Amino acid sequence: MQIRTLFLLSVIFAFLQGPVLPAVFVEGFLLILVVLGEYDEKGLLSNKAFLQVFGFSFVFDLIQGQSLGLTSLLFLAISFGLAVFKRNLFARKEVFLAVIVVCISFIRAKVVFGSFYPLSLLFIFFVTFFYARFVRRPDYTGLRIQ
Amino acid sequence: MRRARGLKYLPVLYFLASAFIFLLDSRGDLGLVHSFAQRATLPFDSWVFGAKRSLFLPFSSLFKIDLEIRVRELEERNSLLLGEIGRLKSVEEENVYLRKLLNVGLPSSWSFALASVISKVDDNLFLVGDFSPSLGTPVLVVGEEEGFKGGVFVGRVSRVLGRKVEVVLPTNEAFHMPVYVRDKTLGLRTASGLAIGRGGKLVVDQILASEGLNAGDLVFTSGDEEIGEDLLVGYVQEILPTKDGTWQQVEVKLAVNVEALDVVFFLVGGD
Repeated sequence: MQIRTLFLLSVIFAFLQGPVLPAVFVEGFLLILVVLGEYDEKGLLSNKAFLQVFGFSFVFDLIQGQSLGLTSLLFLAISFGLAVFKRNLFARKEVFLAVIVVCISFIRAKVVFGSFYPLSLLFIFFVTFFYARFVRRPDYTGLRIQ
Repeated sequence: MRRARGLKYLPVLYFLASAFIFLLDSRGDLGLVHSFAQRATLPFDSWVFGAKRSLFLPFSSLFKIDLEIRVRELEERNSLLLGEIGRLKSVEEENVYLRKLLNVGLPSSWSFALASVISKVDDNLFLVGDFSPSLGTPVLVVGEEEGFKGGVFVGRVSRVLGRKVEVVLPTNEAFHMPVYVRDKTLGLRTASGLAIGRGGKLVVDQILASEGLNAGDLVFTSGDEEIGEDLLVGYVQEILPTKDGTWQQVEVKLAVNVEALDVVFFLVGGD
């Protein structure tokens, strides 16, 4: 994903989450989008992915008035963990992706806000599932075309 | 090669940077950043929230009925809880008084029942309580003052109206009982007489003129069929001039401040 797009999405949703949307909503989904899109030739997560994760997490914390760096720490740790799977697993399993996104959102909600939002978790599960199933190209493996 | 190796550790650097920022924020060093961010985002937040409320306002009537019922339920529950709190507070206060009663060394054969003071009207006191005393039952409180620790006489039951009880105070014109006087310094019994109410005042009459009295001496109940003995009534305030040389009178200041009473005890049993 382009950095500009990611930045714009994170700013828009950071503003909306709270007044309109639940406080934790699309961050997990954004993280998976970043991770899915930034594998290098060797199938490892690129440095750019980590930078993007660091950046958009910081934006969320800043706009939502939470402890700066907390979401970045969480999401970077999760990214390190996800990097182990490489791209092949991500390419195939829609339910697995959806469950990962729900877990990420749940962790952020519990750690940062001290509560969780069941309906929003359910919603984001289905959004991720349908995205992985119908929107993402089936042969997309995350390789950047040179 | 060196460059590639260096780039490999960039994610770790981002992680450390996040940790450092989090540490700084935990210490409160990034307050300015937060203030700036909140100042920049507040207008947008207010606008978004206002837009959301306007959007959902037409649908709020659908939920209004439920809300009203819920509010009513919560108000009822609130009233019940407030009542319970009031009751618990009063039980707590009664407990404190009962503990004091146990500590002042009254005869162990005496038994008591608690009552709450409603009001004082002229020389009468109105009480309410669960116990229904008989006429003439003495009413007392606990006194812990300089040189004295024990029961303080308040009055005698004159009327019982269900849970409400009327008590005649010693200053009532219809009141009289035998008393004795104790020297304030030596604690020795120095005189005895008859306490008579004079409408707002209490006077001890029929004291032998030869018995030495001083202002500040303590006046106690002598005890009769209904009232136990050694209950403090008051203090000698003024020794009145004698009329015929045989008897003397003293005016007595009550030991208890009746206006400030909340809880009293009926003396319901004992030798």
